[in-house]
Amino acid sequence: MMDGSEVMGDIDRDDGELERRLRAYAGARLSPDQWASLRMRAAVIEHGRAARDEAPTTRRWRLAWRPVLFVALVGVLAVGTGTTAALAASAGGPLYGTRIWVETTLVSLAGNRPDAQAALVDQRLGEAADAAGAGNDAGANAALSAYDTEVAAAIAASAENRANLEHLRAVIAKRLDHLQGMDKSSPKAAAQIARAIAKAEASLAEIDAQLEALGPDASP
Amino acid sequence: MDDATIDRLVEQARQGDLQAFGSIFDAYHAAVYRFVVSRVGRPSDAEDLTQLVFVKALEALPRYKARGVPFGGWLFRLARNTVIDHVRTRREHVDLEAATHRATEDAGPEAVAALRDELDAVARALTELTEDQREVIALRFFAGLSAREAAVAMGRQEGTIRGLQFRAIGALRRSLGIEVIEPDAGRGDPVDDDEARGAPSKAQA
Repeated sequence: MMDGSEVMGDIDRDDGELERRLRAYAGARLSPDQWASLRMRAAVIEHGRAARDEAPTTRRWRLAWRPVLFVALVGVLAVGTGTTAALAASAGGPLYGTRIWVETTLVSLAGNRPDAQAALVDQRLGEAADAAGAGNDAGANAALSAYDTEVAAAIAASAENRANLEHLRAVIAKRLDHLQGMDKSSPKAAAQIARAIAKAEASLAEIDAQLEALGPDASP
Repeated sequence: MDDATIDRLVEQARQGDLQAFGSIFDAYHAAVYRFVVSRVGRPSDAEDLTQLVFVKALEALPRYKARGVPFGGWLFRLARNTVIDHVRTRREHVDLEAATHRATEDAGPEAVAALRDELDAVARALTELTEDQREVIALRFFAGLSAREAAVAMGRQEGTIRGLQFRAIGALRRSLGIEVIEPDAGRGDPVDDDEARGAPSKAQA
C-alpha cells in the first residue's frame, strides 16, 4: 500500500492541485473518526477471539484452569469439608480471602495470563452481583474489594496491549449489562448493585483512556 | 508499514496470532473504510461493512497464499466484493454526496465555507465519473493502493487500471476547472472502449 503522494506522483507530477483536493476530500469526508476506528477494531478482535476460543481453546481453557481449581479445592478442603467449606469460601465467608489468594497466585502461573486475569475479574464482578442480589452486604463488599485489586492488576498487565485491553473491556461490559438488568426492587440490593455498576463503569473509563492513549491506528 | 512487515504480520496472523491481526487492522482499516464509504455513502453502513471485511479476512486468512498477490490487493478484493453484495442487497443508489460531512479544521467561518464548497465540488465531480473510474479513484487515491494492488482488487490488468485512472484524472480536472495538461504520448495505458465506459469486468472479481 502506498501513501497519497506516491500514488499521485505515479500518475502526474504536475497535478498538485488535484492531489490536494482529493486528499482534502478523503480526509474530511471519508476517513473514520477515532471512535469508529475503536468500535470496528473491538468488534473484529472480539470476533476473532470468540472464534479462536470456541473449539480448541475451550479445551485449552479447561486445562489451564484445572490446576487453579485443584489447588483452590485443596485450599478449601484443608480447612473445612462439604457444604460448609463451599459456603466458607464464598464471597464474604471466612475462607474467601484464602480462595482469592490461591486463585490470584495461580493466575500468575497460567499460560495465558491476561485471559486468566480477565476471567478472575469477571468472576469477582459475578460474585459481587450474586451477593448484592441476595442482599449479602458483606459478600458484595468483599467481592468488590477483591474486584478493585484484580481489575487494577489486569489493566496494568494489559497496558499497551490493545487486544488484551479490548478483551478485558468486553468482559467487564458484559457484566455491566448484567448488573444493569438486575432486579433493584430491594433498596439494600439496589445500593450494592449501584456500587458494582459504578466500579465497572470506572474500570471501563480507565480502559478507554488507555486505549485512546494507544492511538486509533497506525495506518500508513 | 513496509511490505516485509505486512508479510510477517500476515504470516503470524495466519498462525492465529490475534495481536498480529490487530496490527494489520491498524494498518489497513482507515483505507478500507475510505474505500467503502466512498462506495456506499452512508458512514454507519461503511462502519459495519468495514468490520465485515476484516471478519471475512480473519476467517479467510488461513487460505490466503501470497504467490505474488499483494496482501493489500487481496484484502481490497474482499472489500470490493463485500460492497458489491451490500449494494445488490440494498438496491440503493450509491451517492457520494451522502458521505459524512464532518467539520474538518478549526478555521474561521469563511474558510470553512470555502472548504465545504471545494469538497462539494470534488464530490460532484466524482459522481460524473463512470463506475469503474470512480472505483479506481477510490482504490488508488482514497485507499492508497498501488496500481498492482488495485488491479488485483478489481480483477483487471494493471494497464487497464492505469488507463481508467488516466481518464478519470482528466475528467476530474475538467469538472473542477483545473488546467488540463495535454496527455503525453506515453502517459496512461490505452484501454479498450468498453473499459473506458465502465463495462463489467472481463476478469474475475
